[in-house]
Amino acid sequence: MKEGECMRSFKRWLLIFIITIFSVISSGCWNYREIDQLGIGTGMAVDRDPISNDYIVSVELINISSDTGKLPMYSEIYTSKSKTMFDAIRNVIEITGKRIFWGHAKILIISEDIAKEGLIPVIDWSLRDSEIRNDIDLLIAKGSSAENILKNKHYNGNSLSFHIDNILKNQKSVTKYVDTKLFRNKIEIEKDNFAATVETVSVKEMDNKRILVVDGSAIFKGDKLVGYLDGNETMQMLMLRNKLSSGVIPLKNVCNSNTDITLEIFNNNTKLNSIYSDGELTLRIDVYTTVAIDEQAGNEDFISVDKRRLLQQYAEMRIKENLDSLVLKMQRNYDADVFGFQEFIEKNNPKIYKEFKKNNKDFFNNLQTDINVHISIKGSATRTNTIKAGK
Amino acid sequence: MNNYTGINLTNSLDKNIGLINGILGNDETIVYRELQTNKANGIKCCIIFADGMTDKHIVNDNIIKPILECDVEDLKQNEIIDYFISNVISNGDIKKSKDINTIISGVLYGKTIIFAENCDDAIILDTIGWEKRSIEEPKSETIVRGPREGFTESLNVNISLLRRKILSSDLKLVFMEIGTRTKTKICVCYLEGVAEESILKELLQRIKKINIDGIMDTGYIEELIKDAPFSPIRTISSTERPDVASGKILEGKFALICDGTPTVLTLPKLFVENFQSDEDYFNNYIFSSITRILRWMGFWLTTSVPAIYVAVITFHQEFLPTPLLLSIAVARQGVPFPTIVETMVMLIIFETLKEAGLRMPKHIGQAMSIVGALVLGEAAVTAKLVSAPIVIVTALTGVSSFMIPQVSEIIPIRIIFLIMSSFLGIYGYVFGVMGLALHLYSLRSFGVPYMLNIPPGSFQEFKDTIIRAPWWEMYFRTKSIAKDKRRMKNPKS
Repeated sequence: MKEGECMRSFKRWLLIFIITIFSVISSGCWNYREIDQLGIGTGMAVDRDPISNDYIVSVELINISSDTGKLPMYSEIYTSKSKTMFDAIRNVIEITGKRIFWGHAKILIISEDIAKEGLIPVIDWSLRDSEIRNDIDLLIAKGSSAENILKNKHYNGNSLSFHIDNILKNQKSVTKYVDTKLFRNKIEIEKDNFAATVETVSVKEMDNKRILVVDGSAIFKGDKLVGYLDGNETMQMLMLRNKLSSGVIPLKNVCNSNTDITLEIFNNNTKLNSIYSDGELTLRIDVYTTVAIDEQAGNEDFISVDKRRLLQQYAEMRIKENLDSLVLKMQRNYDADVFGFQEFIEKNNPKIYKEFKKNNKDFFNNLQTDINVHISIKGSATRTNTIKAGK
Repeated sequence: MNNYTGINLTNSLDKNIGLINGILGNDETIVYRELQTNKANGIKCCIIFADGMTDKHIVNDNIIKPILECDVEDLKQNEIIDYFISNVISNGDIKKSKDINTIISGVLYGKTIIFAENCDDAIILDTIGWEKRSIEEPKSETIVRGPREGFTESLNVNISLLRRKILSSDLKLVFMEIGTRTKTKICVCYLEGVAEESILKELLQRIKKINIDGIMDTGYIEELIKDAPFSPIRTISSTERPDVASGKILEGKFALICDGTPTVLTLPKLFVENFQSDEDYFNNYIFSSITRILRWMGFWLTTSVPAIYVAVITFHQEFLPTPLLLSIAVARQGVPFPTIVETMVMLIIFETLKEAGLRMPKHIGQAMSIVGALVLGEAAVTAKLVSAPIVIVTALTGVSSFMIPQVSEIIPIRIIFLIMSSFLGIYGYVFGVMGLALHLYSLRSFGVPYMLNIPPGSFQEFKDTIIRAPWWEMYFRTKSIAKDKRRMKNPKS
């Protein structure tokens, strides 16, 4: 390469370099923020001011203390008010001095009275905003204001949102509440013939401490709260929805033998079957549950073959009773199809469903159900016999 | 540069001596030993050699002694030189020359010149014998298993090391000289019938174009003949190990040995060579494949970890698991500088320490490691000048760069990635990676695509790139490099 050529080539590279650097620097794509300048939002609670009708948004932030001696991080609650959710949340900056980063938020608690009027105005911002994850957990504050639940002194400094998130993560082994992700809730409330459910959180007094309890679920018609299910009812509902995979069934005083037995569910499979004959529509529900005897608190032996048969029948009967009464309660009290029965019929017998719907507005209300429970006991955990006291 | 082409030797011994003396000046290391045979009518001659460059035993026993004892009678004047060559001097390498340029460079290279009275020819004898370093294990390329010898500064020794590995008449050597003043000897070695001739032609042509006063190392040649001269990417590889060089010659590549340096160039170079070590071929193939994959990972780590760290910390906080986000936030609390500045400073400090460690005298090594490890690592974190995660990032980056010592282009890549990701986050990092990929794929080394076989498209291409296939599976040499592709008979066919 000659000297002039070399220089020209060098100039060309320099030019390309300058153009690249400047186009990168001066482009609008700049969102550099230092991690320690962020207010890390972990959860929020929404209430409504009864007088001014404004939203009261309480935000839980993780604060980092530079003091040695103290905990390195502690949570703090900031509250602000406004006509809309987004405005209220932006107003929090005035108090905290930091922009809140929602990428790690875990929970959204909504008060009862807002839920009764409708969820959509509150969850719209959360679903629309780019930072908030769509899989944060939605909870309804039962029996106290949402703000009150977040402002719980008992957990001094530890983030309550993380605590609730941990409870919800272990839902699988308790199954007394529904793990409601925000995006799933959106899908549910948008459905015509389905009643959405949301887990509920309440405060319980225990030894002079106010403890948080996540238990049961709230029933929605459309986006409006209509009633509640307790923990056991929620489990039965999950059983009918075919969403149950574990959990325990306690049986008190089995067959008048003064023995309590707890069955652990290993597998549950619920099959729906719509039977149409002579202008009558019956929904046959078969619940197949595999369980094991996990606790036999008493002297009576239910593990031997013939007695096990007895136990099985007893358990089937009790579960059927519970399920029947739950379906009836939903039909009579709330007219809320939390089980997805109508959806099933619509999918499997679209013509009949359309016809019935045309003639009869109270379709779910008058739906005949025939519930059959089939339990198979597969074992008695690590003990094959009854533990008996010596004489 | 002086050229003595116009000057001719004369028949007068004194004049010839005067001629050499005139050219070499008052160089006191040049010995002019005039002597006369005892018999044979007392033929006068003069032996010229450079002190320190020649082996004195050879000069004394094989040259001076036979000449003094020469007892032939009745020689014609023009027969003296030929008679000396054939009957008197007992030295292996012996030549006759009239060319004054050859004579001068011969003297300077340690050869011995004999002038005789009434002759316009000179005898040039190979008596080269200067002090040289013995063969040692190269310090820059140490291995656990395998040959421990390394190239030395002597061209002849280096060639002998290669010859001893490949005892084949196909091993061809092309000698050339580079440097108008230093006249450094270089040698191109290749296997005839295996190496591609077009590459040889191109290589020799590029070497011939070099016009420089002198070279001290093969690094000069590398920069003068490499493809893409502005690119930091090395398209010629180098080694100090004869086993590496001969291994590459067997693959159909070329080795370029230069007198005065133990570093031998091998070319053409492929990107995969950065991740190959000679020990891979000596160890079990499973073990070697794992270490090779580790080296690829090391390359990714050492170029990308700072960039990805900065991108995630400053742009994509949602990428991190919540506990990690919180612990980094705690660690960064009270650190006065932005993350990008912190990262840059730590990387520069690391490179400073590395460079200082290379250059400093060995005896103060301990002091530096204390200063480096304690003051810059521990104390800087305690004083909240930098956050603890940055120290980890820097350490990881630095340590993984040592896994691939062949790759000298890491630092510019790392810095470019870092700057890009500090502007645009992961987006910028991806742009950087794309730019690097485009550049690498556009490169060629002596006509061979630099990124040959990456990514491997077939099992054949996998064999010596990402993994090291067992020897009984490697039937072929690299395509596009070797002319003769088959290296081993396929036992299955």
